[in-house]
Amino acid sequence: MRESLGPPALVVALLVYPFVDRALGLQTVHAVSDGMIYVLLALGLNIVVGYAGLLDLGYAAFFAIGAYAMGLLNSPVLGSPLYGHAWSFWLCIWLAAAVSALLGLVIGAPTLRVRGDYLAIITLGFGEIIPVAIRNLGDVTIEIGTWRPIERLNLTGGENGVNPVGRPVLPGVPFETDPVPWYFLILVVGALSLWAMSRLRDSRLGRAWMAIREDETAADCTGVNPVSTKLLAFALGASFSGFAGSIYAAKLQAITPGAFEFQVSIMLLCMVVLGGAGSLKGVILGGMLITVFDRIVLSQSTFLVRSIGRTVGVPALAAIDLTLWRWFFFGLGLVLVMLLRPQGLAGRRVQPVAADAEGDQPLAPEPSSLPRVEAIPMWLRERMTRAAAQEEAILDVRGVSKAFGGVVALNAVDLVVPRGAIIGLIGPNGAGKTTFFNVVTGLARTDGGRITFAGGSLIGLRPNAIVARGIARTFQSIRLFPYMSVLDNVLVGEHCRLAATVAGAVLRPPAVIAEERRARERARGLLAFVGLSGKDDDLARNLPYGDQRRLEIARALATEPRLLLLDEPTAGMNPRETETLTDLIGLLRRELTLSILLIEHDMEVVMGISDRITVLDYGTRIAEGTPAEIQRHPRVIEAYLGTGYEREPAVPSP
Amino acid sequence: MTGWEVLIQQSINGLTRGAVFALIALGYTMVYGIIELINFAHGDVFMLGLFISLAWFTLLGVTGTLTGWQLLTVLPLVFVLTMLTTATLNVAIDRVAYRPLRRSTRLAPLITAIGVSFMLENVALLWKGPAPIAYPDVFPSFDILREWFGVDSAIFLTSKDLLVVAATLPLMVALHYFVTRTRWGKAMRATAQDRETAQAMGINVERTILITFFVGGALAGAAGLIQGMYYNIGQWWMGYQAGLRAFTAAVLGGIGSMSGAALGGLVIGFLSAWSDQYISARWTNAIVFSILIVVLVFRPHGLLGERTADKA
Amino acid sequence: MRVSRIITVAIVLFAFAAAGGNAAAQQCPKGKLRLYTSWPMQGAMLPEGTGMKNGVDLAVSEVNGTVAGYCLEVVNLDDASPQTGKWDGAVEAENANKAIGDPLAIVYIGTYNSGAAKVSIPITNRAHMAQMTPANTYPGLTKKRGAAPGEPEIYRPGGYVNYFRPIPADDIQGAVGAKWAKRMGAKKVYVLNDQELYGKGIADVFEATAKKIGLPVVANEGIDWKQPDQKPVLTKIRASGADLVYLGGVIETGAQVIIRQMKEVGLTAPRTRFMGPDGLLEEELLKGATCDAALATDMRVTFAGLPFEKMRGVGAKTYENYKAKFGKEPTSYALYAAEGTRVIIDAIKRSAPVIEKAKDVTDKREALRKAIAATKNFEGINGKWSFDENGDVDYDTMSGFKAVKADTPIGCKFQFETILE
Repeated sequence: MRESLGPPALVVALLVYPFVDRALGLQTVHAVSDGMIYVLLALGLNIVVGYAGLLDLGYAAFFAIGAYAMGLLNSPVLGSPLYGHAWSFWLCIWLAAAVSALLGLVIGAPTLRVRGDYLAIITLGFGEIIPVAIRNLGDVTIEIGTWRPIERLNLTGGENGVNPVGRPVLPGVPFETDPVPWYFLILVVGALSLWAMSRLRDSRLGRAWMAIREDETAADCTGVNPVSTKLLAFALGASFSGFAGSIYAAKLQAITPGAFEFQVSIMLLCMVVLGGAGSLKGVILGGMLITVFDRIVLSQSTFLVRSIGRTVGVPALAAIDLTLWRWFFFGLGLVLVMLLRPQGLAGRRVQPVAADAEGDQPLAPEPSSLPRVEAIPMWLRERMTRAAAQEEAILDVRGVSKAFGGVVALNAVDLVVPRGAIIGLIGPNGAGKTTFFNVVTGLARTDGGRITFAGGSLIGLRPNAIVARGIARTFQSIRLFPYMSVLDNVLVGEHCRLAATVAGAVLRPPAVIAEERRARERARGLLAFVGLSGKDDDLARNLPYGDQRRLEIARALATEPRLLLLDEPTAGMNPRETETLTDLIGLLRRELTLSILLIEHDMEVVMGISDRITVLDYGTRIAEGTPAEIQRHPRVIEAYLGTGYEREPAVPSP
Repeated sequence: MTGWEVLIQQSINGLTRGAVFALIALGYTMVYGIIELINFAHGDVFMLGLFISLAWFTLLGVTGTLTGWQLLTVLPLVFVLTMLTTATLNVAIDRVAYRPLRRSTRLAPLITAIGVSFMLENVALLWKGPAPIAYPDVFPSFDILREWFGVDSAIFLTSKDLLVVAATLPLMVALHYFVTRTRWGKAMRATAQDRETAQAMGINVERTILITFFVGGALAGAAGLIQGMYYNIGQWWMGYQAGLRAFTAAVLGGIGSMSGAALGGLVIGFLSAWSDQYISARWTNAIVFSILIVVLVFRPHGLLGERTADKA
Repeated sequence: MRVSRIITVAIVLFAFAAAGGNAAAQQCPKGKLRLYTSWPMQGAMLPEGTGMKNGVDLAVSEVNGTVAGYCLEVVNLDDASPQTGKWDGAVEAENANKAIGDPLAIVYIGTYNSGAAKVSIPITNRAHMAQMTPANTYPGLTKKRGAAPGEPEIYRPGGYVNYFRPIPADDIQGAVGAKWAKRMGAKKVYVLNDQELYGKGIADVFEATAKKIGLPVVANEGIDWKQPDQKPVLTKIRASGADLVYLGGVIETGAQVIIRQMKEVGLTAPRTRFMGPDGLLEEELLKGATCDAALATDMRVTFAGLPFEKMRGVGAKTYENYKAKFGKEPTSYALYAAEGTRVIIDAIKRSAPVIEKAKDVTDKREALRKAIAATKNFEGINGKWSFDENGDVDYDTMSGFKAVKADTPIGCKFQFETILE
């Protein structure tokens, strides 16, 4: 942390501001407080959009729910079932947050199945449904024939809204007449929220959100449960809007369904992205800019242009009304900011990707030292040896099949990985090798067969659950979390071995602090082991190709696997790098009794390192045996020479 | 009216309503398919299409109902002029606001799209004023069943209903032909599937995107003109509302899928008309979106959307 | 630093602009009193907002901006939100707070939207500041009839009335509309509303009255006015066999579409007619809906008070002066803005001695509030009237209008048909 005058000066400015405002008679406290409510909302949205990367087009629904929860519980006059029971503001604000969080879970529930922009439209749908429901539930009549069990029941106040809403009561604080207590109330709630959010961001949970944002599949295969992680993002994001909504309702004293329509969601989204999604500072900046733009900038600039027009003597200028152009200028501002700073005003500027990331051509990497036995982190060694199980075969696959449409990708494949062995999996282009990996790691469901790992069946488990059982993998085309730091990439790998909860992440009891410190030490140890020390804070996408490969292995090792699945780990590497990596793999097996299943096209590597090799062709196992046996196997020779052997090195298999 | 007559009449209402949604949805889905951008400005191009077509009519001296030969000359001319104008506008929007952000995050062009949408609405507001604009009855309106067939029925099938279908269907067929048969269309589909590979195969990706925006804009213009002639009313904010419905239609059908957009538009048209009749107009919006959510939960890629394989 | 340079430039420009604003000085022996106004001044509301502003300016100019030695200064605020372009509770609250926080502010004129008034009345009430609306007609703001539970007391935290309206409320208009429909021979009514405060409120009163006087109501249905296509709802009405459609709405919420499409689905006179409240009494409506459709549906509109051209005395003079001063027809509520401002000026005149002796600003405002509440036999645009104990006018003159063919650019106009009581 850098020491600077900035933060204390800002705190003093925020504390002194309302009194300066009063002394100067500016009367801006109300506008600023309202702006701060929107900023708080935008911060909540930032959890969903900025951290977890889920586009939410209906966030105003949570705002509405928060406001109505406060309004309905805290209004003394509403003709609802709660008629006449006004509860305390200080209780309702928590209830409102809880109700919003609950709704966040409901809206987030389709995330179980729906992804990407389809999820965005679901949030948009809820954003449309909630105001309609609030409007219509103000006048409910149920009619069955002539029997009317419910007639003109008013649940929500309908288009009338709820009015008035009780204000907070604190002895000696004039919430009724003075905007300044409101300002400080919002300031305190906002500061607490910021504090909680920044702690969440830097926790196990925050890393999981960002991993989901970067690459959901890779995150799943690194032990992050995408469903619960996304639901948590929705719920937590919604709870902050519950606070914002309830303060809004109590401050305004009146809420109507019209205040929560689609435009509000869009504005909040603009605040988040304009400032820089994922950056707390940026979102605050974006929110303040947008709320202040119209009320102050436009009206003042009209004034200005007119007086310039009068002085210069141009009647067209003197009569101009810029407020008529407000949406034009606002839109123009959005476009210009995005064109000039696509990452947002305060977003991290990203260097262009190094040229090597695109092709298969490796950049000459800096010479990397050969892996050393002593470099193996002690903790990893301990874990591995302690976890040693008795059974002979750690992975036992029997008769696994998989078809995509009519194409059979795997046809009753058997494969056994004995404990501590390196098994090679080879086959021509399209033989089903990667599909086999996907089936074992849970990315694809089997059509039939058994998969047993360390005595337990893996059938039907989600990828992250399989990672937790002890299987880690790398991908044929590297799938790191490109916009996260090198260290964070490894820390995501440790996710399933850490225990911090939401409360723990925010409150940081000693146990969580210790856990986090240990996690970082371990991650650094792993990075040193694979030869990446000193690059902790680099973005993963900026690493050279070979380093990205090694980082992916370090991330896989961080999950404390007992079986490691490597999908063409030496693809695109030069001989020197290949040699280093081969040594590393051998070291892992030798020292950690780690079992390894390896897809590899470099025959020299496979034959040199594998204990046994399985050969697939058109989804069927055509051979199994020691490298020497395989090299002599007639069907293998036929499969390679007959069909695709010449093509093999040029075209990577899918 | 008997129950059956009501059902048929409401289905006619749903069909025409849905046909307009479908036309706008097609433009949405094309742009989405090719650059994965939810183009919020599309609805406003549609809105401007309505006003621009009105301007062309005025420029050509048409103020009343077209008759006889005018229907065969003036009307197609205005179709072409309007479509050209909005197509050019759409291409210009892409060039200025989206193209510089092609390699950026996905949120950035989304926000510029919202920005452009605000600008277009403001322009329309200053151009036409805040009140709804009456669009003249350029297309003759009469009851087909009575005038042509001499059937005196409680069901109205007007010439304008026919116009919507008669103008929408050929456009969709032409679009389908364009996308599946022509060189440009094939380039479009290739680019939509995999931009890098398309580029490697020698397809000029930027030009293909340009063509997509051009065609999408032209469709929005045609939809604006049809909407104007059919509903005879235009307002500066209508683009945003129509865009929202069309976007919903595109997603319901499976975003990126042309036939999905058409189907989604029709489904929403029918559903909303029936809901107005049999449930209650005030719940229609909620019902349409609820059905959308349910459909997406059971078919996460829309009715006709293809499951994109997860490239591991 | 770049930022500091920008700030410097901004300050210089700001000072420059501010200097331009203070140019006009007047003779004000007793000082200044500020009249705050608050209603939407943008987007679709700009014409009506400007009309009401003109009304206030007209009344102030009649006394050359001075009353009993006080100079009057009008401060116009906009209560529409930049986020939505519509009236916004938060902005309205801010406006009201701005007014009560200004030691020179004596009265608050507004709002246009009844929903906004719900927010600002309690704020002005606590500050003893009188609030005068030129346009709110939602009944619950002042009285029990047609109100939600707890209204109107919830708007009066101080226990006294500070909110006044020189215009009859909707409970009267909705009821009058139902009676008129019956008189016209309607047998079965279908009520639509735009689901907004004004439209739904007036539709509810219409429905209740109709049922009470034995006029069957098929349904009171909310529509999605953002839809440019209302044919399904209208088809439903046709199937129901109703012979009158009543629409609770304003021209901003899709009335044009309803009327136009009524004709298209065959809901035309003599089988089915159309009636609406004064929110529809705008020429823009005829333009948008076309005269064809308006005439085919035999359209009727009720209006609170008298039509401008039927006004006599003060009303006629105000109408002429407005047209002369601003060069156009007044908007629906422009003359009520003038009327409200005149009531205020009259009250200032009467309470000037008390205001002068008041020890603080609250006492000044309280003096004016009492004076306004005591307004009796005021010579208004609709004749003589007084405020009742709720702050409502004591007359309920309503007029009925009908769309007729006319030699105007559009081809038709609203013509006064009858006085309704």
